[in-house]
Order: sequence, then structure tokens, then C-alpha cells
Amino acid sequence: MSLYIIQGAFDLGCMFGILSLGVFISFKVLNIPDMTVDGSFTLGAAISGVVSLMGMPILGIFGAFIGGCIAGLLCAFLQTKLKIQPILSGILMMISLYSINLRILGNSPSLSLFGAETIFSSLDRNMQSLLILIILLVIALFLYLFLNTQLGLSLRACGDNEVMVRASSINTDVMKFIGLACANGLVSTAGALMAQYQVFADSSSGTGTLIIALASIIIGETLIRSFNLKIQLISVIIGAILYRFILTMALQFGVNPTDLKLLSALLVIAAISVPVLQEMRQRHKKRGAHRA
Amino acid sequence: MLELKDVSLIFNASTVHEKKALDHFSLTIEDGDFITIIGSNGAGKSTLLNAIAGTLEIDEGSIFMDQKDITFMPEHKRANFIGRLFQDPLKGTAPHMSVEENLGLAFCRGKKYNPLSKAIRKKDRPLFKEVLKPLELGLEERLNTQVGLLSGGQRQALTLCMATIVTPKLLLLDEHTAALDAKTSEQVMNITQKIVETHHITTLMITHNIALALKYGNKTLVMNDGKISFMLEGEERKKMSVEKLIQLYSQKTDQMFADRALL
Ligand SMILES: Nc1ncnc2c1ncn2[C@@H]1O[C@H](COP(=O)(O)OP(=O)(O)O)[C@@H](O)[C@H]1O
Ligand SMILES: [Mg+2]
Repeated sequence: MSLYIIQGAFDLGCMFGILSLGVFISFKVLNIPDMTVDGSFTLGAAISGVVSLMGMPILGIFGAFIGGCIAGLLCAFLQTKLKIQPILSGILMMISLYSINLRILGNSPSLSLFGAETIFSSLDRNMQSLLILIILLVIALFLYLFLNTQLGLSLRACGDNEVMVRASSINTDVMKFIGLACANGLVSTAGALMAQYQVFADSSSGTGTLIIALASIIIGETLIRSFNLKIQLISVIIGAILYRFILTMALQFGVNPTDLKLLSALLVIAAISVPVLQEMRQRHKKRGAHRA
Repeated sequence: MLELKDVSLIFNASTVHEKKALDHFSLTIEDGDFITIIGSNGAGKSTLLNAIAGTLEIDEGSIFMDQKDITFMPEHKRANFIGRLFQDPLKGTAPHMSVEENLGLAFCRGKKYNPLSKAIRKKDRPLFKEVLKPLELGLEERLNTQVGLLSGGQRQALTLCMATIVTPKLLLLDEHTAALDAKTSEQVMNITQKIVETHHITTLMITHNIALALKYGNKTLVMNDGKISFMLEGEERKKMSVEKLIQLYSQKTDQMFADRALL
């Protein structure tokens, strides 16, 4: 594997890291299976692409964050006020965003940023990697600080035990609005960076990102198991980078790029089923011993 | 301090499963009352507490707290002045957070903190230790332990601390020792008594143990079929025994107490 490829994998891994931190908020902190992700990732890419073409790449990133937050708020609205099941709310958001994203992209499935100014265009290759890493670390730090505030603690408790939270004078609906906004804001930011990094945005760039994030979180969890929040966040980031390296390696070994999503799904299935299978085996053993 | 006026709560209204869980229920609770509540299964005891806490919206009547109408106040707002414990020790605490974080969360109840201020401040720790110490469970030395790793009794005791760390106007206990073994149950009951007395908290406690219902508190409310069957207080209550109470109950309701209630 050449250094060039390794560096590319690292960059993408860091962007997966931002994506995974977002999904960590919805799936792990709030305990809500939010399917909006695929749509809000593309939303970020689309906003970032269009605004970059206007010559304002940094604004593009912030705009993408805001856009993602709004998508999260709408999803929370469906869940809390209209009482639509979380999974269905997410799917509805994802579908709606598909059309919206196409509109933002000017009704064409893809948008080339070739020649446009991006946050990376004036940097050399190493500085590009450094910039992505710094953005990731700053986001992780802010997230850590946020989750340790009064509000952050309430958010975590809301995902851990909603009954208790309602009995302790916290409005759980508000928590869901805030949490899903943050989650999708980060996912969208990852999409925005990715578009500028790859110099194009397309309407399907978000497809499968939820699985990427879940795989990253699970890999991280398997390697480093802790209930300490700081370590959990670090493990998500490490999981994301490692996961990207696994994909890059698979590609190097000649796996067809279109098969990567299947590979990711299999990885998630494997990671989730291993503990279940282990438990089954143990129960089997116990029964065997009982009979003997 | 708390007044329920002609409160009715109906489950599955206008279906074959219609059930009047509270039937024109009226009750006035005085400041400092510690009322124990007994009654057969399905008498509407839990429903009564759910109605007071705002978990369930009532269909008729009104609820006043210190002369203020709270009938339509949402649950999380009432939680500013109502502390609650459930039978299931898992319900009252967040298992994936530490003892300290759980207390920190309870500590901000009813206070107007900047939501972006640090949740656990160093200066709060001595207070956390102070409230945990009387439990005599050694939890004050385990502030950073994950709550999911504690036993049921420890979790219930912690929940009690959380419900009272900011002194509530009203404490609602729904068979909060029923899921614990006899010894732990007694321990938690003693802690409850201690906390309620120290802070003079007005308390409603459901129990299926008649002896406990007579031993603790200053009044005993006996419920049947969504209504008050009778209320014991003063001399009458002091002279009451478990046997006499059961007799009185079957006289008033033409029903026998279920076996469970005799335990
Ligand atoms: N969520 C519900 N839906 C329908 N019926 C309910 C519900 N909760 C309680 N009930 C019914 O209301 C009555 C009172 O229940 P409850 O207050 O839980 O009794 P208990 O005195 O044993 O605590 C029971 O007949 C019960 O079946
Ligand atoms: Mg009950």
C-alpha cells in the first residue's frame, strides 16, 4: 500500500469520524434509530457544493451544518409531536431529503466543484490531512464538553432511561429536538467536507453512510469497551479510521468498489451477532453439562 | 397542600374494555401528611399516583397544588415539586451513567441553571457524599461507579436520594420496596422514613403490606374500585391491627383482601 493511499484512507477515516460522532449522538446517546442520516449527509454535500461554487467554501460548511440541524429538528418534530415511530420518521426524512437534495443540486444528480475554491484548494496535500484532523478533533472536543453540561447530561439520561428523565423535570421532547439536530448537523458537516475534498457532490453520496457509521461505532466498541464518555468518543473516532483502512485494504485486494456496501453490512451483522452467538454457545454448553 | 376534586380517570373509554380506574375521587392532603395507601390489585392506587404526577391525564375533575390548578400541567413541570419512586428499581436511575451523574441530574431539578454550565461541579461533590452517607451503603465512596452495576436495593436507595436531593413538596412512592428482598426492603424503608422525617416531606406511599401501612405514616387510605373505601387516622388508626383492618375492609366492600395483601 503506498503512502498516498494510506493518507487518503486516513483523510476519509477522519471524515467518517465526524459522521460517526453524529450517529453516535442519535443511536447511542439518545438511543433513537435515526435513519435521516443518509439524507442529511447528502444534504451537507449538496449545500457545501453549491455554496462553494459561489466562492464561499467555509460558509458552505457552516451552511451544511445548519441544514443538517434543521433536518434533525424536522425529524424530531415527526417523532415527538406527530408521534410517528422513530424509524419511519427517519425514512420519511431520508426520502424527502432525496428530492430536496436534487433541487439544491439544480436537478442534476451530480455537481462538479472542479476549479471552484474549496477549503482544501489552497493547501498542500499534508496540510489538507492536518486540516481534516483538526476539524475532527475540535468537533470531538466540543461534543465532549457539550455532553458534560447540564443539557448534555440530560440528553444522555434521556437515552438511558426516559421514564426517569420525565420524572426529573426534564422535557424529553426538547431533548430529542436538540439531540437529533446536533446528530444530523454533524452528519451533514461530514458530507460537506467530503464534497469539497472529493471536488464533487452527488445525489447518492449519502447512500449507505448510516451503515458506515454504525460499523465504525461497533468496531470502536469492540476494541475499547468503556462507559466513560471520553473513551467512548475516542473509540468512535478510532473505529471510523480503522474501518476506512479495512475498506481501503479490501479495495487493494481487488474487492469491487460496488461490493463495499455489502461488505459493510456484513461487518455490522457480524459484530452485532458475535455476542449473541457466544451467549447461545454458552447456554448450549450449560444445557449439555446439565444433561450429563 | 394537594387537593383532588372529583377526579375520574377512564381507560379505554367507550369500548368493551372500559375501566374506571378513578371514580369521582376526592382527597385533601395536608402539609406534612404521610399517607399510606393500600387496596386490592387493580384498585387504582398506581393510577392515583400517575394522575397526581401527570403521567396520566385525568378525564374529569381537577387537581390543585397549594391552591394552584395543576390539572393540565405537564408531567415534567410537576416534577419540579414532585419526587417519585417506582416498584421497579431499574426505573429510577440511568444505568449507563455514574452515581455522581445521576445525582447531578437530580440536583438540577427545579433550578434555573444555565443549560450549558458544567453538569458536575467539584463543589457539589461534598453535598453528594453527604446525602449518600446516611444510606450506609458505602455509595459515597463510589461516586464514579456505573449505576447499572449496583444491586436493586442500592439503586432504589440512590433513587430515593435523587428524588429528595432537592426537597420536593410531595413524594410519591409506588410499592418502592416490593421488588427487594426482605432485609434490603426493610433497610430502604428505614431510609425512607429517615429522609421523610428530616425534610418534613408530604408523602404518599402505596404498599401491599398492611403492617407497613399501619406502622409508617400518620394516615392510611384504603382504596377499592377507584374509590376511597375508608381512611384511617388518629386514635382509630393507632388502635388498628392488621386483622381488624382486614375485617373492616371485607365489611365495607363485601370482598376479601387478596392473599397478596396479607403478606
Ligand atoms: N394503561 C392501562 N390501560 C388500560 N387499563 C389500565 C391501564 N393501567 C391500569 N389499568 C387498569 O386500571 C385499573 C387500576 O390499575 P392500577 O392503578 O394499576 O391498580 P393498582 O391499585 O393495583 O395499582 C386496573 O383494573 C387496571 O387493569
Ligand atoms: Mg400498582
